[in-house]
Amino acid sequence: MRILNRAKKNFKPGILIILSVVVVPLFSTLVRAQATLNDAVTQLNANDRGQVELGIQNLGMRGDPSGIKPLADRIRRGLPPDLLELSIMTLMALGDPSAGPVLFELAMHRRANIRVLAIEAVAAVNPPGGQGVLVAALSDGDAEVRSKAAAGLGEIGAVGAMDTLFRALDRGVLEASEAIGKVITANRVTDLLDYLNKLPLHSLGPALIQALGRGDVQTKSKLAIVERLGEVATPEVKNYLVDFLAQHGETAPPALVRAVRNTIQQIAD
Amino acid sequence: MSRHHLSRLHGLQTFQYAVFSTIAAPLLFSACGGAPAAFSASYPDNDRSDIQLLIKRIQRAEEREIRSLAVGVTPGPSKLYAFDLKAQRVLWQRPTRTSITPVVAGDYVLTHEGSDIVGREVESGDSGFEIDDRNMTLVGADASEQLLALTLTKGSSSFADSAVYAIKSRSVIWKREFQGRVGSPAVIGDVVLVPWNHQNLSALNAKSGDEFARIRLKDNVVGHAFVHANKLFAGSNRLIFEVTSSLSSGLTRKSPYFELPERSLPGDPLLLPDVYSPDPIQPPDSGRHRIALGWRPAVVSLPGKSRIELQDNNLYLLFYRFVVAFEPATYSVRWIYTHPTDIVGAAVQAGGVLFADTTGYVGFLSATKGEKLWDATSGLTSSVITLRPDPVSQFSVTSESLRPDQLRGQLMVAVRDPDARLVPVRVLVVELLAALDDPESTSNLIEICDNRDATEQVKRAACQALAKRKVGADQVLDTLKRRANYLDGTTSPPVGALAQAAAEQGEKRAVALLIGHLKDPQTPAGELPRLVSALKQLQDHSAVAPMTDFLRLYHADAAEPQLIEALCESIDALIALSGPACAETLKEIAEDSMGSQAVREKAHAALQLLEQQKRAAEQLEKAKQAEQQAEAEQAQEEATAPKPEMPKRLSQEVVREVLLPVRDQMKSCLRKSPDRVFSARVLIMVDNGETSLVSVMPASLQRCIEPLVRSQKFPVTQLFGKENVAYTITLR
Repeated sequence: MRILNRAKKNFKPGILIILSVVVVPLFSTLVRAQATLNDAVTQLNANDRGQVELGIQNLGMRGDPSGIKPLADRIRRGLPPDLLELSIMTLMALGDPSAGPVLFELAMHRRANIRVLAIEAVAAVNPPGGQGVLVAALSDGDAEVRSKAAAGLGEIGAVGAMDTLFRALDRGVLEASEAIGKVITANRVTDLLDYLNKLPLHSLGPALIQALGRGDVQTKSKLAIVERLGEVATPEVKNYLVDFLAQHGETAPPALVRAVRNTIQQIAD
Repeated sequence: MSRHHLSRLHGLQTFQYAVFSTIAAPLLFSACGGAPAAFSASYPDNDRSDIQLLIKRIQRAEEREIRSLAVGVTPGPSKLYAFDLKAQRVLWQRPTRTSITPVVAGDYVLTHEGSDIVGREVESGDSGFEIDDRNMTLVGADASEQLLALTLTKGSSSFADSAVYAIKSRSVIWKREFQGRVGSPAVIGDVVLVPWNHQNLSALNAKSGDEFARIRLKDNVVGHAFVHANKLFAGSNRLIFEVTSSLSSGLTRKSPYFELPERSLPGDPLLLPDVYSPDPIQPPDSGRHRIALGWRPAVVSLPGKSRIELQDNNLYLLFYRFVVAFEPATYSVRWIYTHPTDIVGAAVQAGGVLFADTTGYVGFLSATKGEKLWDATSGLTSSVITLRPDPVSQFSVTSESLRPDQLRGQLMVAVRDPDARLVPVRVLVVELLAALDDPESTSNLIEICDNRDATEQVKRAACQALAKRKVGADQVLDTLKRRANYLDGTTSPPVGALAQAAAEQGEKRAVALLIGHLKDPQTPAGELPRLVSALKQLQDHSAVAPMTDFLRLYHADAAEPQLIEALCESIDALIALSGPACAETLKEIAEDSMGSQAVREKAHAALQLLEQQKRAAEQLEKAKQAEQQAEAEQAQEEATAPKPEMPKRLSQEVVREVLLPVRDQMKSCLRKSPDRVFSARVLIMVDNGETSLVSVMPASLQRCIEPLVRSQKFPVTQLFGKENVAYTITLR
């Protein structure tokens, strides 16, 4: 239970992995003896706030996807905001794609913070149809929802969402930059480089670093990126390239490393 | 040009003159048995012969000659100037300290400078005369045939003092003073008309200043007298009337009159300024110059009775930068003109309205379309401009009115104007758009209601009007299709007003779109109550499921009052759409301890209502069943009751009994017969109780007796077949 509360405060996809892979199964073994699914569902359906909270936590501790349906039903019957947040985090922790439909519904909740959580959960669980929901959320009225949606699309590697991510970048959703770096294909690298004239480098940098570091992007494309960065030739570019060498210098193709080093040398401090 | 400091030069004489005119003269006249002094309380009013004399003298008056010009005051350093409208040149400019808007009367421009009323000559701007104001203020002035009359006043009600001056050839030829408030005078022929003390209109001899007729009005205030087209008019804030002999009744409406409709216009402008207020003439820099009515009377002679209409049937509202032409009886708008700068003067002439703005620009707008037909500029920045139009010349004006699309275009230009001062007229324009019964106006209202930058009052008026629209369903639906989308740069439409419009039009095609907006988090909470209400009104069952989902999802998560209102509205809607079928959901909501208190209470009340409805339905059902039971029992009783015995045959006794109700009528047939018949024989064929033949002897009685016989029902007999019977009618 404490773990869930902590997850509520500092949720990061990494925590989800810890929860779902390590902690939840461990605790679920311990809890299973104490709270059966029926017990948890009974608590969930009680007309008492404490009991409902306990029911949600017990479903999470059980780590069993069979808890998703009763939890989804309970969400649809209406919960106060804090219990709703806890429920979404529990769905994330359970990590099963069957949570998709209820998470999609919550991605349209009137509270922006609920939508943020739901989008994070969709990205984490990646249920069928999730990409469409994340793409739609790029048009949300709330900036945080949009940025989480962009990040989520990067996480799930939504290549099909690249055009929308570019549009989002045009409209100032800067998180779309990193996502583009994650999903960009070689034939779209030129499009990305065009943005060097439109956006400040710190907005585009994450995309370029991501693209340079990716194994599935051809060296030719990466060299084009470095060449274009060399034309920009600002101290900021130099810093980016230095960082790149520090992170990927040993694994990157020698031609790329050489090009990066040359570019760094040509840029004045 | 010599100056005439009349009062100052003749202070003592003036005092002596005043004493003479107010005290000695009336005594002298009364002592001699003459008429009481002007404005005396004892002067006889509404005397028919006096008034007829007045009318004769008015009719003898000659037409005035008027030079068209604009007289303006520039802001600091203040200068008074005259601009010749025909020649389009500035005639003169003079420094001024005037505390009032200049009054143009005859050949003079009157101002109030310091303690003097100054009369400058129109042609030169030179001072023609100065009068010590004696702490009074100018109320009005008029001139004709070289005679100028002006009125001054100070104080209020019974403590007021007033004076009337007559000036000719720069000299005061007479002066009359009295206690009370004076209005704005008129000069016509050899008569000076002076309104005073709210009710009185005194006619003074222009040469002597003697009063020779007085009209006392019993039904209206009179503050102004004025002349137009050689006719004399008088009036006040909302009503004008022609001075005719009918006024001997004391009733203004006995004479031709024009009255503003009851409905007020933005800024509440008056037909004529309130001369009985502390400032009968506004200062040059008053904001009230920017809101005024423009009109000119036109007497229409009809057989038996005349009436006053307005020139070109237009009443013009000047409102800062707008000129609006109204049809005067209904205030329906004929056109609206939007000017780039504030309008500070206007005057109506045949074919349109002349206006002047703060830059010294003067323009003429056509009466029918508001088109600009003429313009000129003095180039002098002005606080106020008094215009005296040319009464004779006319512009060539088309008689065609604006097409609806042209009018709509003008209205939309006005409503889009961002000037906050114009809001009252812009709201009025929205009302006018709402009155147009076409889909394009619905589009216009949607545009205004949907404009996030529009002034709140204008937007609210448009949304309210949109909600009541009965036409333009396609426009409503098209707009409802739009959703807020950050990447597309679109915003949510005004869903509440659109939903109400759709409901007003019974437009069920809107239901799916409205459900989409209900689910959309970008739909502002403020729009939701009206959206849900519209879904209820549209009576479409497909809304039940999404509304149930909405109610369940948010009933425990409602912080915004408008969301709570929408949830409560959805409870009403569910009851309306699904009746007792929603009881389970409502029970769940009512019993949820985590739910919003207001929503739970509403659900609880709704359940009670459902329960009452259920009980009432049960009682109704019980009553129905009881009724059916009673009917069944009665039928049973009737079925089992012993039937009356059928006669064996139609005996004479049975026939007599059957025909007894019409026996006297049949006898009457005999009595009325022209053949003097004393008996008749009737053969009747009856088939199983049905009369199949009636034959009457003599035949002349057939038409009278047969219907009577057929009107009676013979019983079925035990023979169950045809029976012939005879019946004799005798007069005994």
